[in-house]
Amino acid sequence: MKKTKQGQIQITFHWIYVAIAGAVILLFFVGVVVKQKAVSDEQLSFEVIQIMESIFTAAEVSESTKNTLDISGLANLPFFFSCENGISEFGIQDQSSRVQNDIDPLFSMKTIQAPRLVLWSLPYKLPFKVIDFLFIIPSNMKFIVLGENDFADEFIDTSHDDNILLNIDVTQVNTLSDINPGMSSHIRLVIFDGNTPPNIIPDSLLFTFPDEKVSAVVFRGDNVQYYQKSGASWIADGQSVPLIIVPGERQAAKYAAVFAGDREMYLCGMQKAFTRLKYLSAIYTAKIAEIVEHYSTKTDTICYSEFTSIGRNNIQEVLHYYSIDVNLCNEGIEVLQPQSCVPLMSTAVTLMAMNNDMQNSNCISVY
Amino acid sequence: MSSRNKGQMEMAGLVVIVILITLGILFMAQFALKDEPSKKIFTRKELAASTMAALMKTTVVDCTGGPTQFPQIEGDLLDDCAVWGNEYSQYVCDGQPSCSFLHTKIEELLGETLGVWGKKYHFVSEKVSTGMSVFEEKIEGLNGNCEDRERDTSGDFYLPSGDGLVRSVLYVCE
Amino acid sequence: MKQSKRAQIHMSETIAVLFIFFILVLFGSVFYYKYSEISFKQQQEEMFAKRAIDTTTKTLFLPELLCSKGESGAEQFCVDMTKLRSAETVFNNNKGYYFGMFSYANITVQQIYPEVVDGGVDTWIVYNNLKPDTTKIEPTYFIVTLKDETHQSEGKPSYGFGVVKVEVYS
Repeated sequence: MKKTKQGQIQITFHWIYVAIAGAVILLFFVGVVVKQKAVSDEQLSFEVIQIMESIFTAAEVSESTKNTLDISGLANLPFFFSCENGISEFGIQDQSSRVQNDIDPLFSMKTIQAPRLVLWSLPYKLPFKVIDFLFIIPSNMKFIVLGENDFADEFIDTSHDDNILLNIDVTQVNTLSDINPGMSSHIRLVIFDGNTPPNIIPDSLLFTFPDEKVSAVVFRGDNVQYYQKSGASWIADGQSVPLIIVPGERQAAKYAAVFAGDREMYLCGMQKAFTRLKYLSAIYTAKIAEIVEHYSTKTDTICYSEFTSIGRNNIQEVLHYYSIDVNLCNEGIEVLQPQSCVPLMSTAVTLMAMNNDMQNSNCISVY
Repeated sequence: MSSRNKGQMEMAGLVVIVILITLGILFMAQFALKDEPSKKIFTRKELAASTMAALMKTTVVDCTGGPTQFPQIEGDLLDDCAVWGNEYSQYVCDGQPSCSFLHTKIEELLGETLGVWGKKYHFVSEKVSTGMSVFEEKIEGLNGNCEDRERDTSGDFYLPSGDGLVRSVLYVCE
Repeated sequence: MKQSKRAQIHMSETIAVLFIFFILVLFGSVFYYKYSEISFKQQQEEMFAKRAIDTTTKTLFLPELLCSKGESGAEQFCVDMTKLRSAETVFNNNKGYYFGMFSYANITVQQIYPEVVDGGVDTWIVYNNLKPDTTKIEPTYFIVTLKDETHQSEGKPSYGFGVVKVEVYS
């Protein structure tokens, strides 16, 4: 009897022991696997972001070119782009891996979830090249142009490319009721000619799109105003922003206004450009000093009499006022007062005209 | 169950565990030992183009004769070499006629840069109509040339000389 | 007595099994740690190489150095000497800003041709930020044209042959 009871107890404890030990070991390995999965996800997002950063660097230096980036393998990962206080940041939502950049202006929507990105780089000139703007355009985003002017025609023209993968979906409509959003995930209305967004949102956009996916940018002369859909109406995104540009084609600041997610992103990108301009103008100031010294020994040339001698039309003086306006612009934009950059436009145009005159006279030009 | 069978079963169980863990370690070992070097293809590709562009544009000092006091390698000296050759060269640079000077100078510049960095290369400049090289001797690196191997090219640089089109190209490889 | 001995033997066997099991787990953990360390070092190497290429790319397209052709845009692989001569001062005075672009690096431009006479300058330091405890340096070389408009011949600028050296520190 005793031996039977002992055997029963022994077997029972044996199996309890096996169950507990097995459970502990299983839990241990399950814990390792779960932790490892989380680490792998972080690792993947880190690698993706690093690769994208490299691609963005290469795309940016490929001036005036478009590139395409296939991210269909990451179609279920939403990317976020933000820019605040002159620092842009991008990464994968809900992941800790992100890249910060306080140098290169990036303009894109605030969140992107698309199979493909079009990366387009344009140089910002004021009037010499300051920096390359990089536009990140999701392939499933639609731009609807209302109104007509030279830039509207240029925008529609440049959006089309022989390579179908580099096309940007841009449609021109006569009235907002003609809008057909199709399968787009984002809609941006680009309005010219002083038209304002209507008081009501078209039915085609009202019910099918969440508010954050529909926005508008209105070009009024040398200013742009951003609007965001809010229910059945438009809400203005802050005050209008001046476009600091010089005459010419492919004005990067205008394209930046079209592709920037909102007013804050646009201003933030422009702030980076003006910061860079501050240092560039110091380089050009030194260059002009060398040019002036060079022509100081050639006083019989038109280059000396017209452009570098003390008096009117002195290139050094023009650049001096330009540098002052650059500094004023930087101070203003840091406190979100972009209107302080407006005087910079006229001095940039004066510099541009003088540079052209110097080139036409076969003199060493500023740029 | 006899104690001997029980013991044998336990031993078998231990052996199974050891085998499983060993297989797992072997599986992980193949990842640890994998070699994945990264190649800087971009640098080599653009290097050939930038080298050629710099070479062709270079302004030469210490030249006499010829219409230009400071001739450029492509626009002036290569043209002079293609049209007149060494015998009737209009330019004399560093005491040499244009073809000899170009051969020496291009070899020197490429040697001081690509050669020092361990690159293999060869420079070709020929008249398109005849396929004949403008230079009597080849211009190639001390480390060797890039014939019959994977290489990067600068792209063709064409010069409409007085004696027909001249095509120049630089090949760079590892 | 016999039962007690059997129980003791049984317990010893169990302890031995557990001991061996934990030894194996320990071996596995050590191996995994070593594997992770190697994988991490490999990743560091790749990131370092990537940084070298990114820095070189940015240097070659710097508006502070690039030659320009008026409204036509920039000349590729060309350094404007009139800008280069002042670049060191400007970059030095604004090191904080350019650190965001280049991090720890040394960027120099050397003139190979025409040779500079004794006492002349043939190397310009564009940017220099040495890391205090550098373990690795990755140099990248690139050949560029050096355009000098203040040394003109018949209205055309002179073009030299130069090397841009970008050293990235780890």
